[in-house]
Amino acid sequence: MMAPNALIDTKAEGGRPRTIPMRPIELETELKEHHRAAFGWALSCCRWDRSMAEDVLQASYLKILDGRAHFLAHSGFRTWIFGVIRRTAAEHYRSWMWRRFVPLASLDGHDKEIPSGDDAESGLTHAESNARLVSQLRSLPRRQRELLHLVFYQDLTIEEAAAVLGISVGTARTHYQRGKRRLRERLQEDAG
Amino acid sequence: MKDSMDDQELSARFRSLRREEAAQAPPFAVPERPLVSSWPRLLRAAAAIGLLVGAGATTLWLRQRRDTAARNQLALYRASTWVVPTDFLLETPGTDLLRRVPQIGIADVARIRAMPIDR
Repeated sequence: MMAPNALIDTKAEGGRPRTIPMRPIELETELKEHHRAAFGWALSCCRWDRSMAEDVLQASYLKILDGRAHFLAHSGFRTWIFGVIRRTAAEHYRSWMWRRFVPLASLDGHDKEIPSGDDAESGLTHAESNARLVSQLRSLPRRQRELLHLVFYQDLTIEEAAAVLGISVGTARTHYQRGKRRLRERLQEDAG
Repeated sequence: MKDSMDDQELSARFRSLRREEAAQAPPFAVPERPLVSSWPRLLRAAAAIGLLVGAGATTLWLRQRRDTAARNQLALYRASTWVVPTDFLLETPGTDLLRRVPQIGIADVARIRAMPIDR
């Protein structure tokens, strides 16, 4: 069984925060509860490459369960797990980029082009509208795409999204506004 | 299509995407820890040990090679400057004459004049 490795914040009698270990079963319950949202976020972090998103999700769960990632309750559990997934995706992406330079990398199937939303091999069969949204999201700069996803898809506040991305609220708000404007323009151009 | 898309419409489109992706999410499964996490650590440790051993062996080899070259140079120098210990035995009276080529036709007038005339 997994060893206790995460911490959860509680308020002691004097109002000072303290931490107690989160039991493995509690961790698993929390992960299971946020699994679908986490998968959606992993997909976004991996630019809708489903196989990479699944790998990233599994690697993130491993980090959490074997104690390499600690929940210190500075923010909510969901905010924290999204941060872990984002970092793991960045590591996987660097590894993926590295493998592209290895001549035999094509054999393991990781150097294929990132499939578009309507690629049958990807297993994702987006509806036409969703496929257009994904396509336009993928064309946005990373920060803008991540902020829009966290705010509109995951229903986080801009403050929570800033915490996930590790940036200031002011910067997050700027990226959010720019991303929203750009996405609207592109979706309207696409529809027109 | 409206001229400008408001936040509600964007939210609706994202919700639709979320529903579709949530339906396709793989089932939750706790990953197998030892099989996945221990090997990379072992491999990293083995690679680090291998690098250390390689670096040590290379250092030793370079040092040995440098020492061998220095020894060879010293031996060459000693061989080139070696003097036979019994060489002085070959120095005999008149040896100097044997080493010089005799010259004909050049008279040492000054020496002849200086010689006493036997009358």
